[in-house]
Amino acid sequence: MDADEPEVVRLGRRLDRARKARLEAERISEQITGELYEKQQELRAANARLKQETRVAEEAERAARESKERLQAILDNTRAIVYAKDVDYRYILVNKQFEELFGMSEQELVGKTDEDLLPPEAVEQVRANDRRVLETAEIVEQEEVVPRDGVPRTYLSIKVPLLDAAGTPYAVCAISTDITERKRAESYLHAQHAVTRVLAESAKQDDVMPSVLEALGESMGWEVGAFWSLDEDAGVLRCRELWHAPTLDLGEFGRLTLAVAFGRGEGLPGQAWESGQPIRIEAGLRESNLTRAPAAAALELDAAVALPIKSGAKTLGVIEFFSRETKTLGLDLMAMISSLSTQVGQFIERRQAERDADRLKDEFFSLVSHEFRTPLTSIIGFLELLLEEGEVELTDAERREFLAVIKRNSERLMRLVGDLLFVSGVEAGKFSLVEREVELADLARQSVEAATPAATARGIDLKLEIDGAPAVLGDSDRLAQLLDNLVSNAVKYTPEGEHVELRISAQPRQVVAEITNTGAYIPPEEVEHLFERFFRASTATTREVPGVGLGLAIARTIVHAHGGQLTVQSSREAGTTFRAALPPAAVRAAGSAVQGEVGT
Amino acid sequence: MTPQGPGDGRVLVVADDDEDILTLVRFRLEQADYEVLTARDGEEALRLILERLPDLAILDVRMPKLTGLEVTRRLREHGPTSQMPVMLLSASVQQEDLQRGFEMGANDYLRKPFNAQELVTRVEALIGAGQ
Repeated sequence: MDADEPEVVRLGRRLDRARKARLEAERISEQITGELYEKQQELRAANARLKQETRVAEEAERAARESKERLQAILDNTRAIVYAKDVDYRYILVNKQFEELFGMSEQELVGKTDEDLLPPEAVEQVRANDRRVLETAEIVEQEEVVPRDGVPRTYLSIKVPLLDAAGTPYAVCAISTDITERKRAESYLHAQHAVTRVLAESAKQDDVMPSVLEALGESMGWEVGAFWSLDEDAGVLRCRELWHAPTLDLGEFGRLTLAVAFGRGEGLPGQAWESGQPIRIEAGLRESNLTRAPAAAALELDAAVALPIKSGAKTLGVIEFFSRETKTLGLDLMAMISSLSTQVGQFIERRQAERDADRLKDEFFSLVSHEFRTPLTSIIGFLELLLEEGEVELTDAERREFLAVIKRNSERLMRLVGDLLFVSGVEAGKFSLVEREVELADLARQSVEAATPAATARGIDLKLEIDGAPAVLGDSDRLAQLLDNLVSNAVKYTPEGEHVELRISAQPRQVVAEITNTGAYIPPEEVEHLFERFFRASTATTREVPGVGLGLAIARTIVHAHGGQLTVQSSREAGTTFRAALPPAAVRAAGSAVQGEVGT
Repeated sequence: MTPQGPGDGRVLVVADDDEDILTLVRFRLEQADYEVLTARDGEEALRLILERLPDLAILDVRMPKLTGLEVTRRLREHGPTSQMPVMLLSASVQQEDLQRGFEMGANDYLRKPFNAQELVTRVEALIGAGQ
């Protein structure tokens, strides 16, 4: 280095160095800035990516949360019980219904098993189904009976395996619906069908009660059933039929039930009879103070129900059922059994009516038989006598008398045949009326004349009164038959020494024929039946007045066919009056044509 | 006149509410020399029978006041008539009615319409048997 190097040069070199350093620094600075900028860009990009990912993650999280909430909402708003258990049968998920059912929160329930929650029998059932799902990896659908508040309820459980990636079940998920009500309704329907079928099939069978008791008892799950019939004369209910489930031996309870008779208000049946309503004992039968309670206790019968069987307002009997288990005897059950017992009541009534009809038919045949055979006996008997002329000595007077008897009885037969044919002709709609103007007064006179001998023979005072008699439009033969019928009836049924009067009168728009007989009384209950075919009033039967009971039915048919009315009034003081009111010819002509009436 | 025929003057009570049948039966039986007493209803029949204690009672089943079955039953319950032969006349064809008649204690049963000869034969048989 030169000492004489001028300062300038030294400065120049220092400047140069400085300038180079500065350039270098600038260059480095730029480089750094560039690098910094790049880094900044990278950072920004990374930031943006991060933000993006965060958003996506948040989205996913929100979606997941929403999804979970929706699921939870579904789980909690369904009425079914939804739950999932792991392979150790511990609860891992339950819905709100489940929480409410057991009165515990999900946190409390998670980790518990069914042993902690249910009685052993229920656990067994449920466990078996869970196991099947986990072992077979298949969906299982089963009914399970689980108690709720001490009452057994039936659930339909659908259990589904949750599978991992390898297809192995790691949990069982189940949805259980309470079908107790539905099952109950089904059992009622079943019971109803069973009883209806029994009644339908028993059309010809006399006694349906055993089958009815069995049908009802089995469908409703009762162990004992009894039918009590009302003995009206003695005023008590007696057990006529006793049914029990095959698993039960009735013992003392059965003996007692068959032996005892309950009056109104006595015992379970008596109470049902008196109140006219079902009596229910849902539980605690053995503790009650009923007569058969101790015997019932021996059989462990705890619940009972008794229903009156009625037809209209009349009680025919009572059915009762007993059960070992407590029964919920809800209103729907009672309604169902009540309607069934009404059905049974109607059936019993119908059967009774059929029996009555059969009996009436038998009586009719018996009557007709008698009415035919009696005159025939005389006809044949006297003809025999007359034909034996050779062996038997007959006077002229006797011969004449016998012939008269034959004639008389033949006419009687003819009338009988005529009446019967008339009635059956009406049935077939086969009779037609001639239409002409008829003077009732003339017919009345003839009827009275014809009936006079019979009346006189019995000391009966027979009178005719005509008080104006406009013409009537109709069949003169039939109207004559009508009057004959009524007059001869009156004479037949009037005690000796009394009076019979036939009165024809003109009323506004009516011609009235009234036949009154004193001393003959028809009680009100019989009045309504009087015009029925083959009906014979008690006065007729007790006094054995001959006849088959067709007269009044025929009379009414004729009156109706003429557009009129036939009524009867009877009192002890005044006697009996039959009143036929017919429209006069003028009125009739204005109306519709006369038709033969079928089957009054 | 001394009775000659099978009836030999023995006494019968015949009860029927039909006048003509009564006439018929009486004629036939009187022909066979029976003495015939008639009644028109069950009460009259019972009274007559208890009064006259006939050898045979012929009763229509269907009669007013007391039926033939009722009369038969009462006769059986009463000492003096408990063994008296009773024949029922009936227009019924039912087996049950026949059965009821015998249950009441009747000895025989004749259906209407009947043959006159048969009537007499049966009457003879019953009275003969009672002897």
